[in-house]
Formats: sequence, C-alpha cells, structure tokens
Amino acid sequence: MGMLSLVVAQFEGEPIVRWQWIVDHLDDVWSRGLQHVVLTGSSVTIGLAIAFPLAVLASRHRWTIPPVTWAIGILYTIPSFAFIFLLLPITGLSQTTVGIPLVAYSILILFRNTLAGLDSVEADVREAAIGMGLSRRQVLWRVEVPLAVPVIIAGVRIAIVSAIGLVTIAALIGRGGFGQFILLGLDTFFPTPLLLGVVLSVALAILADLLLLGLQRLVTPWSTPGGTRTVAT
Amino acid sequence: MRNHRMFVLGAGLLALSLFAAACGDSGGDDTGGGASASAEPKGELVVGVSGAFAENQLVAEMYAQVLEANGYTVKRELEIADRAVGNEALTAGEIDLKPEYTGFDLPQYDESAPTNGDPAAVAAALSAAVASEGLVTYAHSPANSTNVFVVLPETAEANNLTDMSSLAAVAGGFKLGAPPDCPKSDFCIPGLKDTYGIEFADFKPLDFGGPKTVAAVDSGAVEVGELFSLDPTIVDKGYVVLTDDMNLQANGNFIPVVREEVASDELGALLDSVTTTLTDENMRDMVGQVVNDKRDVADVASEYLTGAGIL
Amino acid sequence: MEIITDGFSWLTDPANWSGSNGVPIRVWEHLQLSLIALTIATVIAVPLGLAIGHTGRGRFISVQVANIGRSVPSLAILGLVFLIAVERVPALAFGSLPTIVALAALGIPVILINTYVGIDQVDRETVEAARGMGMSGMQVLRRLEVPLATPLIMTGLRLAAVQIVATAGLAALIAGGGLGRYVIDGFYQRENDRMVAGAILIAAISVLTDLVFTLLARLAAPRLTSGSKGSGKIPA
Repeated sequence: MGMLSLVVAQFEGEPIVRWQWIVDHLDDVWSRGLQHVVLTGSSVTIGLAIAFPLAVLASRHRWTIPPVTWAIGILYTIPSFAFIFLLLPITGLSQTTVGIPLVAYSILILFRNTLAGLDSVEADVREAAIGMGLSRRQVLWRVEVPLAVPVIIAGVRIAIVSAIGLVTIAALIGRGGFGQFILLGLDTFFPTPLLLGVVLSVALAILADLLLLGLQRLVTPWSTPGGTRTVAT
Repeated sequence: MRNHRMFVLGAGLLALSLFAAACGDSGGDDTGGGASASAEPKGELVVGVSGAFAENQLVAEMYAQVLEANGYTVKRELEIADRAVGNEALTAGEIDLKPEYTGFDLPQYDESAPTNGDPAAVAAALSAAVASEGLVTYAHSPANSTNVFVVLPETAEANNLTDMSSLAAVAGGFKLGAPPDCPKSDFCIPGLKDTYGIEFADFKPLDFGGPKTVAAVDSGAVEVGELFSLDPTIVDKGYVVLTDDMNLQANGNFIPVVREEVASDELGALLDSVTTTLTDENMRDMVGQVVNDKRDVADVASEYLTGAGIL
Repeated sequence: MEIITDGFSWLTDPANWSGSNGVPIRVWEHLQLSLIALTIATVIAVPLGLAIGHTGRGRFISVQVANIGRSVPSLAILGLVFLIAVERVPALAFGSLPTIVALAALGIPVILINTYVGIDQVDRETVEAARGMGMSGMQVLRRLEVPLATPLIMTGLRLAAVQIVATAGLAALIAGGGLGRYVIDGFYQRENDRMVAGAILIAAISVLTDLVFTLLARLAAPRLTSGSKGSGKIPA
C-alpha cells in the first residue's frame, strides 16, 4: 500500500485526492455505505439461516457431510464476477443478483464453522445431558448450540469480512456499495473516488471484524483474547 | 441464559439489516438540484437517461431542475446503462422522460427512416415514429452531438487522412478503439465496412467516448478512436476529426422523449426552454466541466440554467 | 433458467471455437495471464515468507500488511494498477502488463502468509535439535522447515491460483483479454448466451484450478497427512 500511494502521488495534473470532492459527496458515502451494509448483513443472515439447519442435520447424519461440502464447495469456487453475470439474465439488475452469490459463499463458511462448533462438544457432556433426561432437541438447544456459539460467531466474522470485499464487484451492475466509488474512479480516471472506495471498504471490513470480535467476547467472557477462530479452507 | 446467545446474534444481524434497508430506501437518487418548488405542486415525474455518461446526464439534470422549479416532484434515474435499457424503461412507464439524440434514437422505432440530413426532418420522423409507442417529443436542440472518429495529427499527416474515405486504404494496418458494443453497432464496425469499406486490423473494446479511448489514442495503443463530437478533449488534445464524408453517422440533436400520459403543453414549454438553448459550444463547455474538472453534473447544470436566465 | 442452456449451446457451437475471439484463444489468454501472474507472485512471496518465517524478522509488519492487502477489493487493485500504468507507462497500459501486475499483487498476500505460517509452525525444539546436530541455517531451512511447511505453502499457492484465475476475468474491464471478454462484450452487445457462456467458462476454469492444485499438493507431500489447514480461503 505504501508503495502504491508513493507511485500514485506522482500523478500529473490530477491531485491524488481532491478532498473537496469527498466533502461534497458525503451523502453518497452514507447511501453507499448503507447499501454495502444491507447487502452484507442480509446475505450473511440468510446464509446463517440456511447453513445452521444444514450443519445440525450433518452433525446428526454424518454421511451427508461430504456431498454437502462438495456441493457448496463448488458454489464457493465460482468467482463472484462470473456468478453475477450468470444470474444477470435471470434476476436482472436487482439485489438478488448480488445476494445469491454472497449467500452461497457465506453458507460454506458458516456450515463448516457451525459443524465444527457442534462437533467440539465432547461426547461425555452430551451423554451427561441425555442422562439428566433432556430430549434430543433440548440437548441441541440447551447444550450443543450454546457451546458452539463462539465458533459460529468466528464463522460469521469470516463470512462478513469476505462478503464486504465481494460486494464491491457488484458495482458492475450498480449494486456495489463502496465499490461504486472504485468503478467511478476507474471509469473516469479519477483517483479520488477510487482511493475513497478502497479506504472505505477496507475500513468497513476492519470495523465489522472488531465489532464481531467484541460480540464474541461478550457472549463468551471466559474465552481468552484472540480466542477461537476456525480457519476456512 | 446461554440459549439466548444464538438468538442475540441472529436478531442483531437481522435488526442491523432491516434498519439499514429502511434507511437505504430513502437514499434514492433524488439529489435535488437546489431548486425549490415555487409553483403549486404538480405530479411526480421520473427523469431518465439514454446512457450513463456526462453529456446525457447533464441534459437530463437540466430538465429535472427546470421541472422541479415549476412545481413538479422529480425522481432521477441517471445511471441507466444504455439506450436499449432506457427505452424499455420508458415504454414500461418506469421513467417518464429522457433526453435522446434524434437520429440515434430513430432506428429503434423506425429502421427505414433516414437518420441524418435536415435536423428538423429527422426530429419530425422521430416524433412520428414514437407516437405508436405512446410517446411524444418536443423541440430539438441546435446542438448536434454525434460520433466521430479521431486520429493523432501525426497519424493524419503520415497517412494523408482527412475524411473517413481516406481511412479505408490504410485501416488494414490500424487498430480501432471504441465502445464494447461497436462490433454490433450500425454506426461502428458493420456500418464502417458497408459504407466506407473500412476494415481495421484489430479492435480494442474500450469505453463510450471516455478516458480509456483518449488514453489509448494518446499512447498509440490504437490509431483510431471513437469519441463524441462534443467532447472537449478533441479540441484540447488537437486530435484530427475524420469527416464523415459519406454521411454514415446520424444526427445527434438533443430531444426529450416523453410518455404521452404525462405530456402537457406546460411540460413541453418547460422542456423547450432548456433544449432550444443548447448549442455545441455551451454543451462542450459543460461536458468539460464534468469530465475534466470533475464537477458534479447537478452543479454544472444549475449554474448554466441560472446563467442563461432559465431558472 | 433457459438462458443457462443457451450459454451451453453457445459453447457447443463450433463457430465460437475459431478465430481470434474463439474459445481456445480466450482460454489460452486467460491461462497465460494467470500463470505468469502466479509465477511472479510465487517468486516474490515464497522466498519472502521463508525469510520471515526462518528469521522471525519483520513478521508483525509483513503479516499486517498482507492482511490488509488481502482485504483490498480486487477491482480496486486492478483499477489502481491500470490508472498508474496509463500515467507512468502509457505505451504498456493497454497490453497485458497492468493485468499481470494486479493479479500478481493479488496473489502475494495469501502465499506470503501461508509460507510464513508454514515455517513458523515448525516445532522450535526440532529446529534447535537440528542446529545442535550441526546443521547450518540454510540446511535447517532446506531439510527441515521447507519440507514441513510444504503442505501449507501448497495451500497458499492453490488459494492464490484460484483467486488469480477468478480475477483474470476482470481484465476485460481494462481493455484486456481473457474470458472476461465474453462476459463484458456479451453484456454490451446484448448477447446473453455469450455472456453466460463466458461466466460458465470462468467458473469451470476456477473449479478446475482448485482441483489441479489440490492434486499437486498431494503429489508434493505424499507422505504427509492431507487436510492441512490454510489461513482463510477467500472467494474472489
């Protein structure tokens, strides 16, 4: 980054950043920020609503894990650029066209983490609960899920941070949140909005990450700093 | 207590997105040109464009501001990607009016009518052609924005290029830089071949008369570039514009196309008060302010309207 | 859904498999851009990651920079590199250079982090023991650390390769070639079948890249257990 800004600093004729332009477009920063947050938040919420039952199902019926992982793994590997343009003729220039890929990507992350969270519950804890007379459903909601929450939130963190980066591509169909600034800069050879878009989307990712880290600490006060974080491969 | 955690997380995410969705809807595109309603309130109008580029957005914005100043509530849709999308939006009633270019819009409704020659005749032909779609037009502008093909002065000199006909002989060694729709446009590759027998060695898909095309011409990445005739860059950079000697290009006089349902004499008079003042010179100046000085379309439009005594 | 079928029909039409805009040429362009970029990224990031992991020097700063670098949107990297190229080396701005530089820049962070983590996770006691046996720093690196880090390095390469191949589709936005051409041109020329066909090809090539690099990783470390952890695959 440092190197990049050094090179950009040598732009002739055009200042690297026109501060006044940013001041004049604060309303756009707000409305695009909202679009960015809405797309990210709703996609990950829907992703969680799909991934959670899938993971519960998979933890009960282990044989479903490989086919489910394989199927959502393939969706995960489809580049967002291709995904959006595959959907464009079907769902048009709508939120849905951006939402579907984002939901698909978050499902894999959330499925893996939820499953890992459920699996992390030790067998004797589970048996003790059953021994105390809890039904299967009660074991799930009172024992397994609460214990899995830290790992699930870790998954939500990864899903949200990666979705924030991906939204920017949707600028190509006018739904890109801060990505709209990036595309404007590229289309009009105007470094100010391009850099603004970069800074804002990176800042949003860092902010979301910190907020969710805070939430993670809040719900699991016993965990050590830097605590549970499952990696997605 | 523990079982609430999942709920807290889900509810938090949901609340966040619902909140943001609620706020997001009010964001919209009505940036407001500054003009306050002085007359009694009239209907709501949606002003669109026939492409999301500065020149067309400027004219649309001027229409919007004049309408707002005269009591209309205006919603702006200035990011519509191209003519085809804009025309669909117009016939579907998603937008109520948009600035068009007489001869370039005409083939969308009537493929046989001549698109160039007498500006009044082409405007009249468009007016007649759109009637069957439930659309009307008003006065057209003196300003004529059409497509031009440009080369660097050195290229022109070395190859004796003055007009498009003179390009035919040397085009086989040249690359063309033009919008990505060029291979399909009758005013671009197919038209150049039919009318002039021009066949380029290669084609680089760039942008719609934008900075990529300019940079590609400057750097020699392409020898010939397609730009809009009112682009001030042509004059600034001293490009040689190749004359369209066989009249391939259409007339590009600005003209508003309006849904009949919202049309009225008053609306027409307001639109005319803008359109009839637009000349090559003042449009070129305004485009320059947006493209080169990075000024906002709304500011440039309102400054012009005030300066010209329209607002 | 019919449009997806149209996309496949476009792909099976022999007319689309010839000429300078034919599928073989575009696939080749796409792979060529990606391969050159991946090579450059590897040549820069692997030695750097090895050095940081081995010496422990500059690891905080480089991991931070790599992490932030990873969250810079790929569209922005491409845009920045292109604008800089137009300004500084206009003669090369409309060739493959900006795309290759941007794609390489995109691949560096994930390779760097995985290489560094791969070396860093090697048991310190084992390293000390090797040194005690009289191995030099270079020998420790070559005989102990690199072999043990290979699975993670390969994961880094795989993640980088997939991301590079995916993002090479965006080259079309800066007048470049590759499979993104079908998507962008199909979009502007109102040929949905071509646009969808381009998207299908990019998706297929990404999935294949993932497979090929998974296999390569198995070949590179046949004696080690598979299922190694990477540090975060990012969809592109």
